[in-house]
Amino acid sequence: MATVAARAEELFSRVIAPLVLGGPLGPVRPFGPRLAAAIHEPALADGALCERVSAARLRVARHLLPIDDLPPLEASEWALAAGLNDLLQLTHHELTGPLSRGRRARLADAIAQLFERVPVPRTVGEALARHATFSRVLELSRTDTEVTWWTGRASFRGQAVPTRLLAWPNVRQVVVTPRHVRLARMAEDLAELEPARFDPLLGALLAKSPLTDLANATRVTPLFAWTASTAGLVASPAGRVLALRVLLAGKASRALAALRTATDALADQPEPTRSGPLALLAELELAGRAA
Amino acid sequence: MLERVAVHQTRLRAPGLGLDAKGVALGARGLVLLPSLDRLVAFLALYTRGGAFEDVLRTLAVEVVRSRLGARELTVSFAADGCDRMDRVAEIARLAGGYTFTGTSRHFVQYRDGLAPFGYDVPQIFATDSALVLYHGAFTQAYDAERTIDVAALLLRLEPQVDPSTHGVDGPRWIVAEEGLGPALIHLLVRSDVPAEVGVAEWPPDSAFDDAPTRRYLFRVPALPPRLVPLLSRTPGLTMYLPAADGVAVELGFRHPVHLRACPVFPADGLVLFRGEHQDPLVLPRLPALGDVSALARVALRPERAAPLPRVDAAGPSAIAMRLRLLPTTEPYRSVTATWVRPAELPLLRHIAYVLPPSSLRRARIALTQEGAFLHHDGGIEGIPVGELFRELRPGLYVPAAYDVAPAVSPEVLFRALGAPAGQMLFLRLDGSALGVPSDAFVSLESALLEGGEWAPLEPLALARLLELPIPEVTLGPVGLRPMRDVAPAEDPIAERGT
Repeated sequence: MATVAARAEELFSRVIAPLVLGGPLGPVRPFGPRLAAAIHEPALADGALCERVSAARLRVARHLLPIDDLPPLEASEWALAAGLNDLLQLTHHELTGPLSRGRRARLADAIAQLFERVPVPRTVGEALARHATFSRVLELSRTDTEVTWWTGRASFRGQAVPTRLLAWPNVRQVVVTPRHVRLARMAEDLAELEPARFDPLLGALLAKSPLTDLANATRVTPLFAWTASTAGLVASPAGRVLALRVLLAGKASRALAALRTATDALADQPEPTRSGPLALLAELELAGRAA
Repeated sequence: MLERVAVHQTRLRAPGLGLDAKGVALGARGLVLLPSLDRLVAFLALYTRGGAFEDVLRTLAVEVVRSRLGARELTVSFAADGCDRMDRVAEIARLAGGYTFTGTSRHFVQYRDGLAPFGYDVPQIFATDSALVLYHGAFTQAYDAERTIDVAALLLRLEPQVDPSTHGVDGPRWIVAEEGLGPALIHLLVRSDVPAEVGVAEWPPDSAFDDAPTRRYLFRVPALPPRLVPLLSRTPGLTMYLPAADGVAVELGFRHPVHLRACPVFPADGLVLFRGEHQDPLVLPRLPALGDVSALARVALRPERAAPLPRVDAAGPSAIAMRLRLLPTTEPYRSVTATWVRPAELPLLRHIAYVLPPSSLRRARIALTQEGAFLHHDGGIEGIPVGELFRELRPGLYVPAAYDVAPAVSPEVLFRALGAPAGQMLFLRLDGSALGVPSDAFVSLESALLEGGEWAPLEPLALARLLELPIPEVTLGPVGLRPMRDVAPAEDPIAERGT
């Protein structure tokens, strides 16, 4: 248990807190589904950081609902955070080597398994709590730096450039070109990890937080698609209100187009599955006309 | 019909009417209804004869109002400021044929009289859209405001009345001379050894066909010898004026209907000359530069001689010249009208300015120089107890209070010895040296307090943008030796080893 507590502590301080509060996020050693499922209400040493994270989560939730309190991180949120950590490690270029080429595929399988084991939100409040934690997940970015000098060049993915390469910038004609890479495109330059493998994993993460999924419905990749969790959320009037608020907070017209495309794909689904998305579409169109 | 207010009555129906400490029904303002303009003038004349009108003037509003039947009457409204003022106004209004009311905004009720010592109240409010409703024991009338009358403009329109008694009044005089008579009068005053100051004033031409402004010589004579009075008062082209207040003078032989000293509506740094015999008053918004007449005395040059003049030993006259000194005197203070506030004492002056009465703030004038601030108050500077006090030897010449000059030369001689500079106020220091402050550098103290004060710009504090969060940025560190040691499928109980 001591190992689980220590891993939870570093997961909180290095992944969850930066995800909620912003700042440098350093993924830790991958967790895997078993360890991720074992984290449940761990005792965290940094109480001040816990309070800051709680306040930031509450602030996100208050954008949608006038509430005064949010429950602490539940086991499912810890598991999702561990899955996000593993997803980021999946994009690490040093994960594999000449003698460990299978690591990335095994980690991808483990992540898929982890997300499958996390249940969908059972209540609207639970969906709101997950959104409060993961609302900024698609804002995650990595700075890749390319350094060229008079005799060569070097690239660094999410790592600081050694100062020796930056020395004598005028004499050595050093040119530093930073490039910001969002989470959805972090795996694009990895030969052994195709986007077709990475995008579903990211989609699975988003599907476990339906409000976050709807808030980012206008994303380019992975494209928004109705899942059981998002359709289940908008099936209830309260969930539909929250979904409407989260959509109207962004670009409603683009969100409407994305939702309409995704709803068209539900043409062959039974009526109970389509009723929630169709009702949301109707209300969103009404709100767009009123605006 | 009005109701009399009873003793210990607590509620009144008239809006804006309350009970003061004595239990008298009183509103925020008082109002006097006068039937005509001559009654208004009579009211002002009676009031200003008995006391100062200055405190009432600040809140005074004179309006022409019209009743529903078209009858025009005049109202004089002002801040009530207690029963004492209202009682005096009511007595004078009664004498002038007016009615006195009190109220706050629109509804004014008759002020107390002998029948109702605690005042009156109305049994019912008169429903009307008119701007003014007056409730009197004999009538209830609604009025609409037609126009406002400016008191200063009214006073300018009033013609002075003949008053031969002013011929015997001593004191300073203003003399206005036509342009051609000015130099002759200057020569007369210099030859008669009459101290005076002279300036040239200009007015716009009376006719559009005139190609030059109307110029007249303006003399200020502190004391005119009686032997010159008949000459100067009967010579055509010369007009003598008797100062009636700061910045106002009335032609000799006439008297303004209103006591102007009690009604200071004209700026003290200008000059208004009321002329008799149906002539328009002469108005100078600002006094022209005045200089000693001796500076303009005629000069005569001796004819040039071919032979050099006999050498005069310059050491001769200087052998008896002596340095001016200031010696303490035991005589009581008199004419202490100026003070010199040095830079180190300016903060104290600012503190004192907070407690100065309004009259001192308005009448005191200040000039800011590198040596400090010079304050001047015609009525005496003792009310501003800061700095080094100066007394006025003659207009434009000041010595420290409690000091006298030695040798005891006359102020005129001393002024001439200092060059008799026009438009300068000379302040003698204890070491005998003098400081000259331009007269036009003096401005009203209240203006200087408001306009000359320094202010410190404040940078607005940037509000903490609590809601702005930094972007979460992924930094990749080393993965370690066995990065996959915790990763094992849930179904597989055996964790990966050595990966």
